[in-house]
Amino acid sequence: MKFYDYCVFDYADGMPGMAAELGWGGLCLLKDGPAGMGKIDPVKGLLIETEKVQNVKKEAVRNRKRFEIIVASGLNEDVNRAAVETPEIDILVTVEGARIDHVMVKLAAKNNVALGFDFRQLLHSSGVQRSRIFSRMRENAKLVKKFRAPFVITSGSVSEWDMRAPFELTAFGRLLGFEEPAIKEALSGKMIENNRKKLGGKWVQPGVEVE
Amino acid sequence: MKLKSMPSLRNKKRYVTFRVHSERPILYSSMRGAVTNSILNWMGEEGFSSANIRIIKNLWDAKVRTGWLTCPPSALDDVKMSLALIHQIGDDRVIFHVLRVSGTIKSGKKKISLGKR
Repeated sequence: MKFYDYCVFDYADGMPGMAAELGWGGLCLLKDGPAGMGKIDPVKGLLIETEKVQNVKKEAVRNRKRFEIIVASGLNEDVNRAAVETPEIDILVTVEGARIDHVMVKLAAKNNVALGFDFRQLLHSSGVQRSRIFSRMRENAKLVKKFRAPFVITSGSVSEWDMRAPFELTAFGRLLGFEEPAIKEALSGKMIENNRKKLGGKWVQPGVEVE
Repeated sequence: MKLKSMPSLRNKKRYVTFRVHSERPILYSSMRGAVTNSILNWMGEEGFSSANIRIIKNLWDAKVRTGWLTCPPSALDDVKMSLALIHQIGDDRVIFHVLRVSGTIKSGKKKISLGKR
């Protein structure tokens, strides 16, 4: 099974080698990266990072056909809300594990926006701050489980030293309260496969494809 | 005289094999310090004592930077998480990568050499 890291916020030269060693099958690069990375499947992603609510939908709709994965990083609650209301967005990653309420999780499930749990937020924090971030993540995970919203677990790396193996992220997912099959699906390339199919030109709507 | 507990009263344990990725060689003592501190930070003193985690000195391979530790099956996720949270030893940036979890050292070594998880 190929594992995908959905949020690689920045690209560094050592990343493809380290990713292959750690067992990743693909990396979603949210900033410019090389077209080929050896054994690693490069996924073209876009990061929407804005404080203005109206920009979220505008950016997502404008870029949907150019990028395989669109990630929104919510800098405030209004942006988070706008992101889960936009079906063009694939993933919402909250800053410092900011809390999301049941209304937002329901909307995320309805619009198929996956909620991202970013490991790097824990990696580069310590003490009280780390425990607060983890407790918020646990609360969010509880809601995600309850309303069966899609989710992804990512390393959120900005250099090769922030990367972690898929099996470490699986342990992180289990500590958040998710079940093993759901975690494996969250790390799999299912979302990328679907989006590639949609961008392929033959896809019309779910269940309808042009031969 | 070495005291031994009854086989039926012995706690179950798992062997965790890990590899340290780093730019420079890592000493056993600094690796041990980093692992212990990280587990203590994540699990707390109570969790650390009840988990009875041991790092096996004889099995540390400085060349390939692989090490072994034992922990109960119930603490596996916490141990993996603690290892993943280590990002620096001294001034060197590191990645702790769990290679294999096994029931015995023999099976662990065998499966690592076969490249299985």
